[in-house]
Amino acid sequence: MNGRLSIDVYQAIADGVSAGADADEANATALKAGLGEVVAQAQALFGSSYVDIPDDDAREGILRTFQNEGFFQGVRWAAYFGIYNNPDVWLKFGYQGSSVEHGDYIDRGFSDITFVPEGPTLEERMAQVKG
Amino acid sequence: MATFDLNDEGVVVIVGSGAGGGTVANELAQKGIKSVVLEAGPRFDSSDMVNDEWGAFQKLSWLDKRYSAGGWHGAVNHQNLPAWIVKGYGGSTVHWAGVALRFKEYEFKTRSTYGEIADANIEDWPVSLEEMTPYYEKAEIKMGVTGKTTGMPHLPWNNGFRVLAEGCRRTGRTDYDSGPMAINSIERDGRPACQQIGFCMQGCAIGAKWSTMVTELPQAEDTEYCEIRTGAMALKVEHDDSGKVTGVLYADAEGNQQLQKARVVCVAGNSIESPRLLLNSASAMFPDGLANSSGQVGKNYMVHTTGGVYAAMPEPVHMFRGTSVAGIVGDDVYHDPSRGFSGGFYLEFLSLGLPFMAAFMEPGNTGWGKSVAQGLEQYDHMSGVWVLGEDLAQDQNGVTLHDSEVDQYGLAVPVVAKTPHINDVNMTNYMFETSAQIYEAVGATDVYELPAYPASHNMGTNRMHAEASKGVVNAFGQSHDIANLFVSDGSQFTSSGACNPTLTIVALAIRQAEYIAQEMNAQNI
Ligand SMILES: Cc1cc2nc3c(=O)[nH]c(=O)nc-3n(C[C@H](O)[C@H](O)[C@H](O)COP(=O)(O)OP(=O)(O)OC[C@H]3O[C@@H](n4cnc5c(N)ncnc54)[C@H](O)[C@@H]3O)c2cc1C
Ligand code: SF4
Repeated sequence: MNGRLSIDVYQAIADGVSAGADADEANATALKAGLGEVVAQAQALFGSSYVDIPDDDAREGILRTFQNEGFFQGVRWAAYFGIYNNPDVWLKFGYQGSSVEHGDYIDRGFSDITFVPEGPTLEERMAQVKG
Repeated sequence: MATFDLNDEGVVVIVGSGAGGGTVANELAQKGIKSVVLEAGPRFDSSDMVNDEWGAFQKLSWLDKRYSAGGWHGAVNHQNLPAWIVKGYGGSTVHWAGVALRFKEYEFKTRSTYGEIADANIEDWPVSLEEMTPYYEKAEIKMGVTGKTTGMPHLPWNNGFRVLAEGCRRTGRTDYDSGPMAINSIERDGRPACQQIGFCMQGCAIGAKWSTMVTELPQAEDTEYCEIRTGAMALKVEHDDSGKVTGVLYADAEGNQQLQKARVVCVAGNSIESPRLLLNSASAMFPDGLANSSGQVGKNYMVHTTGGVYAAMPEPVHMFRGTSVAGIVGDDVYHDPSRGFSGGFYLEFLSLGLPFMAAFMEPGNTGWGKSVAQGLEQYDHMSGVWVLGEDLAQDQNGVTLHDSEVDQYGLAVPVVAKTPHINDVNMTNYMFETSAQIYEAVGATDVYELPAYPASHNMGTNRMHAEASKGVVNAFGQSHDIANLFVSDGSQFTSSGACNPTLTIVALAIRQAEYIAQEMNAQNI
């Protein structure tokens, strides 16, 4: 991973989720109710609001309670697409995305690592399939 | 391209244009036998291929309604995607990876080799490796498979495979290489050498990889003997009072129903659609579906015992650079029940892009949070394998028709059931452990195990058997019940073997086309 993702990436995901709720009343109702449950659970377990719980594992634990609910999976998949299927952040993960317009990886490091031995040469590969 | 009249009773009608159907069509065309190929999906060519995992998936895949069922995790996590199959000109050869392996001798004789196994329905094939060898050679030459048959060298080793290969060397393995692959390593047969673009499973943009889209189908269309109709979904195979098939009813691209008359019908819609079509063709004379006196149509669905293992290495690997399946490990392909399971398995280096890695690392509702995110942060340090081993035929695994839901053509939706056998469970554990050991030998810091993806290898639902009571078709893929009805795809497989199926599908299709020509000339069909 090359550095952190910028806050805009998360903001865009949140904006997308809000826009989805604005466009669909049932979605909005479920999302509001779901977030309400998260807040209530945080109060019940930690006596504080969700965002004030300092331990990220504890926050994740609260969300795990709701992971089979539709509102949660909606947000989860929005985050998935906003991060892992987002060409703007791929390079942070070291993923180079579409390649064909650059020609190929033959000259762009398809076999450039140095911590293991090289593969066989063309001559060796040719010899292998003779006879 | 030739065009044939709907009332032409002399044509062979082939349902599906993938590995099986596309090959039969071209083989028949080269012999001067007329055929009409009905392909449900659209026409594709190399310029349609995009280097985008989800973009290509949406564009190419069969997304008509289907249900996953049975005990595998996909019945919950991939509810409408039991299998990953292409709908279009070229079928799943458009996005196949190109691994082109032959079955081993014992894999044609599983029943004799393994004996009876509880809860499995295993049988011997009615063909042997010896009989198949000349056809394997023909298939390798046709497809351009790297190795001794063609004299084409295997592909150069990419980063991801070099890591795996070094692990294999350090764990005393000897059978690991970057082939055999049906991908040109040098220019051959009018197609260029692989440029290590990657994204083979999104379709090769330059045609270095064999597919019926770039070879068999255009070659067949260049003769005067083959017409390929895209957007043509076969609905029902019709028959006459004597029990011979007479034609195929299909929905054309405009949604109108048409009946194409036929002298012979070859069904090659892959292992979900082929049995579905035969079951949907039930009639007063054949109340359980066509070619189903054995009751085996739709049964014995096999997909290979699979999973993924991805290891984070101490240094960057950039596994996505170059050929998607860049190397094959064959050391574990043998039968030794003392390992806790019957049959063997391969490890195949397989690069996934970040989108697919993130979707499949932990599919299902639990696949989020810190551990998954931290795993994905190591994406560029990963090398990994797709593990695949023999899957045993079982009565309970198969394709049935939904009792109320229909698809856009009005046909009952297929329900595809797959429950792992204990053999699969034991083999999977063993494959996962073996792969982890290999990667740990090169210094892996973390190893991630991915459960089976939606099935890419689909087999067995119209299986071959010497006896008409135990199988749907004979050794030539010809229905035991109906002489002019053939099955030409992977649904003919009696057992799955450990290897990827397509070379065997193509070899069987070449052999079948020879037999069809002979039987037509002899006026037997
Ligand atoms: C990502 C991926 C990678 C793979 N890699 C490999 C590999 O490396 N090596 C290997 O050996 N195999 C591989 N496979 C498997 C390989 O693609 C299949 O085994 C092979 O293509 C199956 O051939 P087939 O003829 O049975 O069906 P297909 O090639 O799937 O063709 C079936 C065709 O029939 C059409 N059809 C279905 N029903 C109807 C109907 N009713 N009317 C009209 N048309 C219909 C479909 O639209 C489709 O075009 C891979 C598969 C996937 C998904
Ligand atoms: S890596 Fe080679 S075979 Fe694969 S898509 Fe690219 S050029 Fe084609």
